[in-house]
Amino acid sequence: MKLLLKNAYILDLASSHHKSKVDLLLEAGEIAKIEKSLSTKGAREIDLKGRLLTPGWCDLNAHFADPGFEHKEDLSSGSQLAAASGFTDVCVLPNTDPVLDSKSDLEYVMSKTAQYPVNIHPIAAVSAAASGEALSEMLDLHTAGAVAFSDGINPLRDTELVLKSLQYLQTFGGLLIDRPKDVFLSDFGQMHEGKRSTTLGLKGIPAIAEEVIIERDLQLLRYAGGRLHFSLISSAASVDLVAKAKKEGLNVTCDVGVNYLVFDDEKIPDFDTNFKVDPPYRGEKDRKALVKGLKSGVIDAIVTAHLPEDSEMKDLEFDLAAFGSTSMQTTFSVLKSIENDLPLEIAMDKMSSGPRKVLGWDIISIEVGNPAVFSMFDNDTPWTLNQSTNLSKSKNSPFFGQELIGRAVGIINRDKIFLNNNIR
Amino acid sequence: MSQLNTKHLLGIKNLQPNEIELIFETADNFKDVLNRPIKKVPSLRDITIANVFFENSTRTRLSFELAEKRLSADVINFSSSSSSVKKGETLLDTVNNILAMKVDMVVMRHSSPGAPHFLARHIDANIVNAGDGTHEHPTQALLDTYSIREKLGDVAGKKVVIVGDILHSRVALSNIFALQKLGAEVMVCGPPTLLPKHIKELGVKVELDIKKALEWCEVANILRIQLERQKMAYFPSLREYSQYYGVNKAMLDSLKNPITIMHPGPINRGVEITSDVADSDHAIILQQVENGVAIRMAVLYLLAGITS
Repeated sequence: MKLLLKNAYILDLASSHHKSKVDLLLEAGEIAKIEKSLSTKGAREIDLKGRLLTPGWCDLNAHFADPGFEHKEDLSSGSQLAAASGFTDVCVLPNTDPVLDSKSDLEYVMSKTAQYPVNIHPIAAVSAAASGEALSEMLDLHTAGAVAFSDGINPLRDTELVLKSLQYLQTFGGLLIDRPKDVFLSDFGQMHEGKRSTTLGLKGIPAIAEEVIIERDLQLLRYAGGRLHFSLISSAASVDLVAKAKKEGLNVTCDVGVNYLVFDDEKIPDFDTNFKVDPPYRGEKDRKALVKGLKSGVIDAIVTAHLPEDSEMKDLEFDLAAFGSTSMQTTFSVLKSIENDLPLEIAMDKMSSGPRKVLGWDIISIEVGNPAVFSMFDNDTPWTLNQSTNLSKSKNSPFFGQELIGRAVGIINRDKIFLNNNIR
Repeated sequence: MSQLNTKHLLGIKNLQPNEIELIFETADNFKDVLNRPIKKVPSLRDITIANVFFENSTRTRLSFELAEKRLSADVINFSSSSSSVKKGETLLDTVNNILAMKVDMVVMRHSSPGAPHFLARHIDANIVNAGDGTHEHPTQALLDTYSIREKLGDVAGKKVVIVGDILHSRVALSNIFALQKLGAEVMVCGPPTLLPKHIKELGVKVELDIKKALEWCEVANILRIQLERQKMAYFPSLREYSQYYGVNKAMLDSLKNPITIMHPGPINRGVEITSDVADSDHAIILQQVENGVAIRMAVLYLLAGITS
């Protein structure tokens, strides 16, 4: 199949066509030609009219709740949502029921999603049932297609388990992901510990709960070797700790959730549970440090942390409500809204090349001969996330009902194409 | 000003100083009524008020109920010692059930911070927060500051120390907001594990030494040590607490100037305060209780005028 992409504005730091408007001819899932102007008979044509074209977005942190919680999201709805939001690749976390901790669990996910336009990559549990106790069969899980190992939303509380995982994963160069959080210091915590939590009478989750675990894990990495990735760092001091560790030469990476780049605790409306997330939105200084950490390269990737919850878990008293928000569909709009702080070309890099490097994959820059794996975005169209536009099965988004600017047009993933209504 | 700008009393934080003054002036009138032979007024006739208490309470519930009856409201009471959420019914369902019986106002106590705010988003009745977890207890703060105004003539410029478990106390937080809005200086005193890490950012002074705190203040509001709201040990023992933070007669006698002692009740005699202090002339603990009825009458009366 031949496909001609007309008038694509390329945003790809690794490409020689960065920031230029070009036509691309795609053949058999690869980029055959990139020129100022192309016309080919017999090719299907899509005119992007100057819209953005970037290497395919890859999310390192999404919950599609399948199996077990299909009323919140499932692999099919999640994949549709991902494609419509501009993702060609999504790594799903293992906090399903059952937990993704065996070969057959992974096979369910992979076989169910094999034909979808979005590649779904399972992250397998480090510990059986993600309970933090016994190691999962990591070699077997790796062979079955696990791209990394993490207990997902469950922090690794047992120091020895972290050590053993770092050691055992070295048999195949596997990646350990920890969601750094001291469970004792954050027990019963509801939001960032600060002036705001004090005035709301809510128990705080102090930033040090994250920082002491980052320090612990880095010490273990120094001792054991291996590859370590911190999921969802949220404080300024965490950025500093990772920066120092990288400078020292440790094999460590980290990511930040997209909504953490716009929200801080002072911006949380009183007791609005769609802002109850873990880690919590921290102070304005922390938020600024996260943006700076992306620019300086300390933070490797931006993730969605898409965590759908139904109203039975969210429409409750704040301290009884579940943590998490849906966030995939608004990712581009959020990045667009902060482009004065974080240039869009850097944000795009942290959505595509950044996560691939974390996983140890090759990056796919937009050059002739490379695979045709793209995300496409409309830069300036306003839209509102509401009942009719929401593509998630859940609606626990902090942006629900708000007007946003810019949204995904769709994706091209080799021979598969997914386009939203706004381009057809 | 003749009415409040709010349909609900969810907390002190969003009240304006002139709204607090209005509540005080209204309470002055009701206090006169309460000292008359006939203590009842027809102000809230045909208004039905539900007192919904998801947490144990004796004096707050009684005080509200009395205030409601003095105003001739119809009163129903619902108490559940543990949150019904654990029994499978949500807060919203419980309250909707009560509202289906045509209730105009809900007075609620709940263990979750923000529970009344949650209700206010979902239902139409006026809501009065009678204590939401570790967040606010607005009528307590109103009656406390009203009692200071009564005893010392004014709240502005007064130095008030709040002693004890500031971390878990809705009384402390509401008092801090109310005192500051009325122009008082506020200090908190207690062991560091019972003081919120960021409390200074609210503009209050922090003192760890009880003697120095009492020496500084004109009014000391001694909080009940809330063992039941603590999820782990924040101090080693009640014995040690009472020795180092308990207020006793000898300590009061040693102060340069006499101070006023307040306590929101119920008192743990011999823990945060000794009996000879609680029963002394320095204490206005029972005046607080008396003023509580007048303040709650004022709040209910003023809110009932706003139905929007």
